Amino acid sequence: MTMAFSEPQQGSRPTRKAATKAALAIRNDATDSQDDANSPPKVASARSTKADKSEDAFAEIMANRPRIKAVTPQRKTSTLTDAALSDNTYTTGSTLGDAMPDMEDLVAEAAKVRIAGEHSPDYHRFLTTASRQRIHDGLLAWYDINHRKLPWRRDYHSPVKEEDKVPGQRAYEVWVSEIMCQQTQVGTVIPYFNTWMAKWPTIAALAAADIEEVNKVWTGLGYYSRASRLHAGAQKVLKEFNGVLPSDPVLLEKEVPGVGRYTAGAIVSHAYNVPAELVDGNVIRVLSRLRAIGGDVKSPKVIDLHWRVAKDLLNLDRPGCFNQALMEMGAVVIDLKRSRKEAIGASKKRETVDDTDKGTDEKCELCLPETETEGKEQGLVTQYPRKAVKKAPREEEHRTTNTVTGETKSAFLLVKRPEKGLLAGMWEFPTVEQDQLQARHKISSLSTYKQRSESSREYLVDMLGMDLVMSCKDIQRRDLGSVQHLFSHIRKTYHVEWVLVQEETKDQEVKLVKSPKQGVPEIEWLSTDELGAAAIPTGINKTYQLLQKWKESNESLSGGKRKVIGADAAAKKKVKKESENGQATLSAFFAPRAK
Amino acid sequence: MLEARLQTGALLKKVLEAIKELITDANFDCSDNGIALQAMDNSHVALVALLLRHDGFEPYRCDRSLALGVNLVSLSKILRCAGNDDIITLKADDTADVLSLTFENTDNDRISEYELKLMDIDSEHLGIPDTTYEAVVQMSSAEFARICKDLQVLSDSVQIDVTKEGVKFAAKGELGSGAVTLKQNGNVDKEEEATLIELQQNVSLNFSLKYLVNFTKATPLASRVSLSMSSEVPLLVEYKMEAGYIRYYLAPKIGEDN
Repeated sequence: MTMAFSEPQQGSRPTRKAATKAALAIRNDATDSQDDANSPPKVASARSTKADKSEDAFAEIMANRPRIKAVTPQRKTSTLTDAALSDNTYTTGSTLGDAMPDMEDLVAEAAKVRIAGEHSPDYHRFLTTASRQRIHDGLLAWYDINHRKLPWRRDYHSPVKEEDKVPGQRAYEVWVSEIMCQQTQVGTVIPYFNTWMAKWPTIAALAAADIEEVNKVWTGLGYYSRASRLHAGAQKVLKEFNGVLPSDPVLLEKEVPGVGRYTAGAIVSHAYNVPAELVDGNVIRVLSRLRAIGGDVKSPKVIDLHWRVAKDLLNLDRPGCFNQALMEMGAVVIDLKRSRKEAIGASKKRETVDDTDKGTDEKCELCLPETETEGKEQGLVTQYPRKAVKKAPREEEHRTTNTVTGETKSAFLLVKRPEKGLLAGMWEFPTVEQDQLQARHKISSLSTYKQRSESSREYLVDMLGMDLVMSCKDIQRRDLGSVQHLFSHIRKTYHVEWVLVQEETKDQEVKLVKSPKQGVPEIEWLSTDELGAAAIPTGINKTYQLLQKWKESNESLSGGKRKVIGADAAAKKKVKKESENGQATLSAFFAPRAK
Repeated sequence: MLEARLQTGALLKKVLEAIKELITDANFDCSDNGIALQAMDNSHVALVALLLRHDGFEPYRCDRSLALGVNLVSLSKILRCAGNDDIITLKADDTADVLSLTFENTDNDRISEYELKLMDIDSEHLGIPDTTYEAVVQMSSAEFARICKDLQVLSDSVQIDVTKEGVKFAAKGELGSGAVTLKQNGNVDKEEEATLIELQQNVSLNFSLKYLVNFTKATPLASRVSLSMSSEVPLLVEYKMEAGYIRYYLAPKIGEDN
């Protein structure tokens, strides 16, 4: 085992020079590396004498695989001593690195970690049975021992249950879990998944469910279109495929709403054990390290390459488990956020050249040239996957919205959002985008409360035929300030106004005064309890909390024993006046501090 | 509970005079460190930060931090009942809703006791960043008071220019204009009247005279005042006392003709 750590350039950081040297080594070997398919893994160790990198280390790990666990402590010591003997700078890194699972070493060994140097596109592929076999054996062995138990997994730790044997049942579970896991962390998904399965145990139950119910269960997961697509998908599968998701990934992707190439691959391989490749962010992290893919992982061509590599690597015996193992490794071990420092220790100095897969003389065009910073990490697996260096900063849309929390003594007014776009079909307080208002009023700013409240009143008249001011006596309205909610791509500010209207308003029919373009939105008056139970998006919930907070502080204002003084409206008015003659206020300089 | 005994009652009277024009209600935050107050005026243009350190009192005792919400006009009315030579003792229980004040006159054995009702004041504390100011002017507090008062005749606002030669206060209004320049003079016989300038960079800033005049109500508390300025940040006017300070922050006027 120690061989892995006693490489030629012991104690020195792998340099570009070393890498180039290694690259040359491949070229020289190119002629005699035609052996493949039939050669057993020991070919690698046999050749190790002439390769200037210790590729035999990997073979050795593979040979000792059944003992991997037992060997660990011994290896740890060797790492430590080795690090201590060599460069001091590595000491911290390698101690940290020892915390990584054994498999990290394995991946590191297999990785071909070089950016510099020309190589053929086939360099990134798994072309020999031997190279594939290694990864299969290693990953599956690791996965069987280390995988996380998840409610939708049927694996080594969670054997198949009786109820799983209903045709299509596993596929349904995998489908739901995969959709939920999109853009969402597994830890968050688990409780949602369990609730979901308790509520709609079969695809038929889901198809029969009410979309409102579905949205409600989904509340908090975000990307609500996923829920409605699941629902629509269930109905379609029930109608067209007799309630059983097809086992052909191409058909799945084509026919079922919300199922893309990845999800299709996941469903058929996990549920039906059909060998179908899949690539997601996790898989990319693993593959790019295994095959030293140095291209920008955001570019379509590079993603395409990953798909091809994944296809090369398909495991015909346990496709489902192998695919999950790939993802699991990407998710659990190669955690990008924490990796850099920690993983450096684990993977230092292991430039294993696995040149059993020799290709043509064609040059790979995908790999990006190495950058300044990466140069320092030269030879480390942690430099993969790579991203294009200069990226335009993520564009964030900032939308501002006026929200009116209309309220009678007993109920709140809610309006359903359009069926398309952000938060499609969700219920919210009457809300209008400020840019719409600005376009209508031809003014550039709606910064003051007065402007906002007037424009939102007009909006209510136009959209709902509800003139809060004209038709209601004793109207009360208040500016409640604003709340912010971050969507993945939009920063939204809700300016909240509270309006207390007369009880009778509730019973009025929604009439159109002017005809709006998009038709009349559905409206609903909900009591406080109903509101608590309804599927309302988080942003609107924040609005509601703001209202509750204001009400509470209002009560304490009138009910308190001693006089309470807060920031009053008069003060604000004065601020306005002062700022008009050029006088700045301190709030522009000093931020309020928590007491 | 709080118990703080102040040998020279006049100090407290002067402190109240220095802040009561600017703010009406404020919390006195008492801790074992002393008594502090931070409050903005209604228009959020100026801020007062007051500290009376524990060593200014004899004895001083405060077991648990507590905030005493006080109407400053009421407090100053009560303090007017105290003689300048009186010893003032402040007392408050942790849960009490009154602040009790005792004035003792040692000459004629007169003891008067007052209680002031407290209030819950919802004040927001501002975090004031540590700033390295581009220009710090130290000068006679009486001189500063006089300049502010004189220039107020001409205009609402004053432009303060600091260069290494000196500091210039200029005002321009409908009836005319005026300017007062103080040259840097470290060598005068009377240290109290010297104008000292520490300068990283020349500054030129506009401020409302109304507020500055208000700040000079603190003149009786200290013979010296320091004005700390940087472009586009609030002015700091500080009066240092024997055991504590009173600091005023004033937001600059922006966009006035320079």
